[in-house]
Amino acid sequence: MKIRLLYADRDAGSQGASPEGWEGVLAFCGAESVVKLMAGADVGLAQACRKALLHPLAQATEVAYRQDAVRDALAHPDAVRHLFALAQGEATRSVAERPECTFAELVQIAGLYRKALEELGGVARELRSDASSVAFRRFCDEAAGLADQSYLRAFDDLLKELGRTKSAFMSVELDPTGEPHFTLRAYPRRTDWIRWKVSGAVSGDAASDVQERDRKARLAHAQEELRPELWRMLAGMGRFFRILRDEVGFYVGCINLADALEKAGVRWCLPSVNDALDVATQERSCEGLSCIGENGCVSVLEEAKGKGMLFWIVEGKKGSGKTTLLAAWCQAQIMAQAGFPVCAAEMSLPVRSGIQAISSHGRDATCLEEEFTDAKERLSSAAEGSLIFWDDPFKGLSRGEAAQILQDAVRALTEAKAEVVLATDNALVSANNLARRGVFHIRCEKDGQRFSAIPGRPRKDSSLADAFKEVFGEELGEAAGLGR
Amino acid sequence: MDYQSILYPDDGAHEPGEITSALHDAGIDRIIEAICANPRWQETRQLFQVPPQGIACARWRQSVFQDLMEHPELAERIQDFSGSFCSLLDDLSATLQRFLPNQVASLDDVARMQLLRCADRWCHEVDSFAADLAAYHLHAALASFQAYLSRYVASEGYARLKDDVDYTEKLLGYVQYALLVDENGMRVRKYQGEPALSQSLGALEAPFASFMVEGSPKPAVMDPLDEGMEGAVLAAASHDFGDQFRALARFCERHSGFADERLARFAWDVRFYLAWLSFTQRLVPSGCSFSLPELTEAPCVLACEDAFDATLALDGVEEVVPNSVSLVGDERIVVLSGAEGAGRSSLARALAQISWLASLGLTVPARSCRISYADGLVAWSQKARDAKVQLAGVHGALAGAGGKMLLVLDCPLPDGAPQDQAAFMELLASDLGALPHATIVVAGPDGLAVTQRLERLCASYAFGQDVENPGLRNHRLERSAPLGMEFAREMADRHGLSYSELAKALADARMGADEK
Repeated sequence: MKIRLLYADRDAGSQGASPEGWEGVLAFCGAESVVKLMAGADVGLAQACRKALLHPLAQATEVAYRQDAVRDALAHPDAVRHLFALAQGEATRSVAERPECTFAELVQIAGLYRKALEELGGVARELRSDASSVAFRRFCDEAAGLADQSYLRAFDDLLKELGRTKSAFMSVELDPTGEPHFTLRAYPRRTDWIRWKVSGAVSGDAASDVQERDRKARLAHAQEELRPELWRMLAGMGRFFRILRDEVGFYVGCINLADALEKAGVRWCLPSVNDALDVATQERSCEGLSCIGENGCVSVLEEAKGKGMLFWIVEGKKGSGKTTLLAAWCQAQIMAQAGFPVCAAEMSLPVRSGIQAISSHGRDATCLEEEFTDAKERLSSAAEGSLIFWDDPFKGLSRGEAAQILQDAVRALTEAKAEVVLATDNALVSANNLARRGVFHIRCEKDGQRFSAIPGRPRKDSSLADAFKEVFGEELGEAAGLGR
Repeated sequence: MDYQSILYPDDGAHEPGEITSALHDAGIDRIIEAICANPRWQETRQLFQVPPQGIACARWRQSVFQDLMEHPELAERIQDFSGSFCSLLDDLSATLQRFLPNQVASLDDVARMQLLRCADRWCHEVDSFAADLAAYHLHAALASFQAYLSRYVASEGYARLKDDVDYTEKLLGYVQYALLVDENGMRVRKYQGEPALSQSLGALEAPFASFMVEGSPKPAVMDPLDEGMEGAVLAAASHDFGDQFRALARFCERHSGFADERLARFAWDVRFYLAWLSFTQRLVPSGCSFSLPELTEAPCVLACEDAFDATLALDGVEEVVPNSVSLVGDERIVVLSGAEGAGRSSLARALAQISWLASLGLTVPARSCRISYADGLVAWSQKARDAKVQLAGVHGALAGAGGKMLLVLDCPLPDGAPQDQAAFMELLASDLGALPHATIVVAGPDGLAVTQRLERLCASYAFGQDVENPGLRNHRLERSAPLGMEFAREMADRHGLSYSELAKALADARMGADEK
């Protein structure tokens, strides 16, 4: 039995570890808000969505496989939700984390799994006729094939044997030191036993004075010998349901996300994702980008297009929405790389070999050492085609110092063909890069309660001149010209 | 010398002593408590409370530590042996309750099986331990035990025990019967090849083979089988397996008293060493270490390198600063001077611990140590400045100190007129100088002011104020000074964020990825 709803060639259970620092990236872009929007208070669904976000896809074909299934899921939301509810219910019974399960509990769980498998077969058979994606068609075939009548009958027979609470037939072996070991065996028919007795096969009868407690103990010993095997089988089935929950959960998350965005009037799409063959010449475009935050969605960027850009400078004053823009960009990238719909009317972007996020929020001058170490750790492993979000760096340094250090670091990174998105209110950073090729400027502004991000170089900052005039009653430029 | 015990070169009776106030002040009681907090070592408490039994005994024990520290894998092996052997001895003791000589013939098969199991475990443990131990060249105590064990393993009685165990077990391996348990009772017959339920499980789990998980359920605590019933079942089964059960009865008649007392005692006593090593390994703070001291009978010998207070580590103090102390020439008084909180009391406590633990034959909290053997410890530790209390305490300590006793005085200078204080210090130093053994004195920032005559007896150690904080945080705070770009570049350079450093790191990372 294979699930393969998320990957064409494997199940989600074989996902490796997340890329290094990925959890930090998710925290940076507020992925928990996205998960909340997709899963609400459903813990299992949230876990499934979180897992999908934690394991980005590495190739555009993988993303396409998933997006194809997402379209299918969006077309059959009820069947997908039914599958998820089934998997979710059984996943909670998983015994793998409960090594203390008794034999009776295991038998009970086995009975429930048997019912669930039968129901799973039914849902799969129904969905199979309508599904259009490769992922769902293959899964439904497998599930319907698994839960056929002969399998379910064999399951019933076993449950009958395991469910005996007062009687059992077992063989007993003495180990080399005389310790008895019990093995539960198929219960004999009564006629067989009588025949053996008549033929003299029964060599002793201990029934006359046997105590019930001892009988129970023997039955328990025999069940205990079988318990590991029963536990292992159920742990395997439990894992199947958990993986199924995680895989189907992804699609339920997509359905919920699309519903929520539509209700909120936020534009969304399944983005066009390409392999990052030549990062420096590949075109990126985005229209109507929004950011999912704790309090809903915020529109952050109307339109941006760039070709061959490796250094994006997001500039603006404190509170002008730079961090939100970076978060939205990062959200879109990781959601696209997981196969989720993204909060943009249209988007075209490459698959990244890695994403790093460095934020200096909450760090003051006393944390400078820590900030340097953190930056070094993340930046020094940036590969070609990776994307680095760097928010408000080196607040503890003077502007000149920070700009100089950033200039050097970004130069090294872009030469290595890593792409840097830098948010800063340090005007010197923009000034140093005004004439450079491959640098894209985005200006963040706040107008009342409305944020806007506009592609273009920063406006001239006249705040000091204004203040000067207000205080001294004369123009700063003129005063400077007067040698003031 | 014939082997008697792993704890003592002789076989005398050694009773546990009391935890005196001096031992309490030195933190010895806390150390013992900490060791015995681990349920595995709970029963070693009495062994640690036996006071020093002479330098020969200490050296005997040191020889064991020497072996265990030189060969950590041997320590692990001995620990395994001790654990399983002690458990075996508990089981054997319970089984032997039923094996009084006049009962052997009337015992049921269940008890006989138990004895056979114990004998099997005994032979297995002894054989493998003797083989493992034989691979080492050991020092006095363990070498003596090693020789004893070799003689035991080569003995005729042991060979007969092993042969009989093997023979009986082999026969019992042929016993396999079937048991039908239902509401009417139990019935026994020969097993005739009925299929196991596990086969059906295997068929059902096959489709889920790729979802199998590692691990296994926690073993349940099982109710024991009723011995009477087990006897009846075995009796029924024995109708089909007569030879096997007759062999078992013969085995028990021959070997009901197979256990060797000295091997058993070794398994119990060796936990003294294992408990201590386990404790020290767990306790050692970073940068500190325990070592085996060099013991001497000469008085007033003290040379400790990087000594530390083990109770500080018990308190969870992360950064314990070790210090070195030594007495040279005529010196016999260690004076530890410093400000409040500098660590004087901790170091005094460390030296007291070292003296006591060394005399017990244990490793000590110091990187290296040479120290006089001490029969005991006398201490007066008091933070109150009340003159009457202080003088009474010091008087008591001086009266108790004598013979081979280390004296530790950890108390502030009593309040009083300066000239009186000076006179008291002079007097105290004079008295301490007259003692036959070394003394540790904790003094204030000014140390112990004494005349030149007594000065040659004192080794003075002073703690300075820790005015420097070379941590990086200090550098950061100094950043507000006009270091400007230079400082920033230095920081970038130091953290590899300058252009050249980062470019090199990225190139290396790429090369590493390509190689992968």
